Amino acid sequence: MFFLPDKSELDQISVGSCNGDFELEEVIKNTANSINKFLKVKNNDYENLEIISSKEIDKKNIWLLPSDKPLGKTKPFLDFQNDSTANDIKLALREGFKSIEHVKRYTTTGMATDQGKLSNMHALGIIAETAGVKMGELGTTTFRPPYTPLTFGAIVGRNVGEFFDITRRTPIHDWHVENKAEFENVGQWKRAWYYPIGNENMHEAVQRESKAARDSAGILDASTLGKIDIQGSDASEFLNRVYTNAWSKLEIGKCRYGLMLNEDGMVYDDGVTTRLSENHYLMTTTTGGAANVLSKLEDYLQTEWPELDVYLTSVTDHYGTVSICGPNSKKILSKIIPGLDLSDKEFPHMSFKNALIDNIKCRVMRISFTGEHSYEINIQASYAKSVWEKCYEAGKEFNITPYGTETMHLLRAEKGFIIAGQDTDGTMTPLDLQMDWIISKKKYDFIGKRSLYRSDTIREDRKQLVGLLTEDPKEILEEGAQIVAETNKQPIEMLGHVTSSYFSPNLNKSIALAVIKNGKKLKGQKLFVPMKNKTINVTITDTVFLDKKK
Amino acid sequence: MLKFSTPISDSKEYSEIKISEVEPIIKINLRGKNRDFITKIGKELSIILPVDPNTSSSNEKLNLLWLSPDEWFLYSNDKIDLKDTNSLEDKLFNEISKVKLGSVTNVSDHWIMINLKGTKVYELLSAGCPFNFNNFKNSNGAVTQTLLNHIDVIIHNKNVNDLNLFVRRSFSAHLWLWMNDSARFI
Amino acid sequence: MFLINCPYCGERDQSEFSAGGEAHIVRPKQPTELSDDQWAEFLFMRKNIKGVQFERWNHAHGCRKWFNMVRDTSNDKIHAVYKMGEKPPIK
Repeated sequence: MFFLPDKSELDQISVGSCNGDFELEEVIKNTANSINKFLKVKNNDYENLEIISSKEIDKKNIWLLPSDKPLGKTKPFLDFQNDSTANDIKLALREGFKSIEHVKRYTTTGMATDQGKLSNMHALGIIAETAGVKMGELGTTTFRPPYTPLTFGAIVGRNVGEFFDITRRTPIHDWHVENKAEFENVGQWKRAWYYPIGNENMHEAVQRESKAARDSAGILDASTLGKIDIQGSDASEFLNRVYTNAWSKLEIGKCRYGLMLNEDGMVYDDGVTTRLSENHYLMTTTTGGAANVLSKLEDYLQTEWPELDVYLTSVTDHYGTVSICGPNSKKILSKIIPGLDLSDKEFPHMSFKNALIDNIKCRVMRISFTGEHSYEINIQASYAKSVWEKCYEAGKEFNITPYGTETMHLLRAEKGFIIAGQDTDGTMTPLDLQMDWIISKKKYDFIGKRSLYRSDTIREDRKQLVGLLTEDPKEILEEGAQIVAETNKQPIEMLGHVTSSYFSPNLNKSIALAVIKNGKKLKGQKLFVPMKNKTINVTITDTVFLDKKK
Repeated sequence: MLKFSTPISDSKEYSEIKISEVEPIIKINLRGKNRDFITKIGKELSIILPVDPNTSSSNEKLNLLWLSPDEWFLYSNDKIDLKDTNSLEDKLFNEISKVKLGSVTNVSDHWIMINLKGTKVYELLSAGCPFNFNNFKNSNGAVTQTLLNHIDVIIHNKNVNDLNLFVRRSFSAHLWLWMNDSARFI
Repeated sequence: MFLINCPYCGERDQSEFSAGGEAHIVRPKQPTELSDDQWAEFLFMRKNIKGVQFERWNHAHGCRKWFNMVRDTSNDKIHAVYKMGEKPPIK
């Protein structure tokens, strides 16, 4: 019994045993015929071949080896991984399972990791024999990988260690290593997670770093953010079409936060974009979204809007980004760049300045992801480590504290700023995030606009982003935990889940962000987070926990 | 003074392969579509912009690599002063971007340049590239963008058995280690 | 695995490319004037044919250009490649 190729999908023919020819004479004759036909040639070389022996082989399939014991007393294993036997197959047939797909699922034959490569043919044979049908009429189960055997060569190899996965490092990486940072993988990037001192555990380090950043000064390596250089006479129009808010009137030298949607209206990425000159912008994206955003924007430029005069160039790796934040950040920056006027009038929040540090050009943005007074210094990567060290040195008198991604996440949560990808999951519209303010009412179109008033996206009971406070301020919720309204009625309706959760040292209580059905209207409502050993009482609040006016 | 630092600054020799990081050189990304852009670039740099796919053109100082129908990559042969980089960038930016002919972006630190020399360099690349080097290796000035060990690279075949490879800075330390590891087996 | 003839760079390995779904679906010029059903037609409806399909591909790790390709999804035979904006060379 064998599989005979029926029709060829491509320009190919099957010859020899793969076409069901097992005897030499048959093979030679048929092969010559089919090759001649396929290549449209006449090749008679084979005709006069003298075949000395072409033994008729007795072909017989043995699906089940005979035994002197009655079948019920034997264990004729069929699927060696799932331990199903020929008896199981026969039982299935007696119980009325006829389709091969049903027999497979009833007996689990062919459902192990080999996907039936060892057992399926025998199972088919036994079914055919028992049921008295032809094997060809039974059909086969759906083929699933591995379709073909894997060579051992593909599996065996030396331990490649660090080459197992690609790593990306920031230009300041070596400093983090020297200063004993713990690292976190963010996509392929190695990012400093937190910087433990002595025997500190993660919680202790993060609490210390968070407090220092708000009380005096903190320093963060933000080099991993995606950066896209945008030039061209239609650059402003282009931004109007890709972000939900309006860009034409952004003054030169100013920065603006933008939210990018998918065509289905769901939040895709976010970041701050700076207008460097009339037709020149620098866009930042999330760390993880950088490559996808660039590819998506290129897609629109090449296929939907070829009429726009816009050019995109990735400059993610060209710049290292040193972010200093906290009430003393201004004093530190004035030591680094003495000539720069840092007054609110000259250098307000959401603006940028070109500057020189020891004669090296850099761009300083006054933007903030922590809610604190803060600056981001963008300088070509070869000098980033040196600038970092300079800031650290200058900040020592203010107890400048290096902080990692965990503290960054905590600080932004205190201010209710979202992280695209953590508080959003591809099902959240800007309205679900309570960010109605960022959607321009005047713009005729932007990516995803039409989807914001589909029947599904205007539903009021969609899951919406809210803040959560625990009744016991020391209780920290688990990210991903489910939220319910009542615990005694079964089945319990899940209203949503926790997306971000931290203990805030600056508020001295636990805070969390969550997405909850109809959450916008439930402010003040008491809900429950059932955990394995206890139920935690929570209250829905605003998403902004810390509202220092800066 | 700020200290200049690069992720590799090393040079290694194996049998028939020598690999070394070359820094710092000017690297500028150029984009544009119309005729005026092409003419202007040629005039400013005294090099003809290569319009045939996978090719480059060079003079004694600079190389211009074709990346796509509207994108080119410019780099210098020799180490160069930062001041000169800035002035070349500014000059091109004013002549191209300011007058809306295209875009000019300094990517000097976005890319790390690694020089590979020796008769076995194509074997080393083939160990991690899906690209077919058969025709490439004998044609001087050929350019390709492909993957090496799953990392995006630009490869410029300066001369036979002497090529420059560009990799994004953040990937460069990893790729450098991979190249050294692979070179041992060739 | 198969080779793709990028209309700009020439024949390259499939691993340098990424697929972008069905081709010739034009983004409506005036989305605001469409009904929910009309918008959904553009947004969600794809043919996903077993057989000859018109697709968008991107030479992601090469020239980064998007182009169209006619491919038989049942056997990966590529019948044609052509640039964006060009008419399909076959029906």
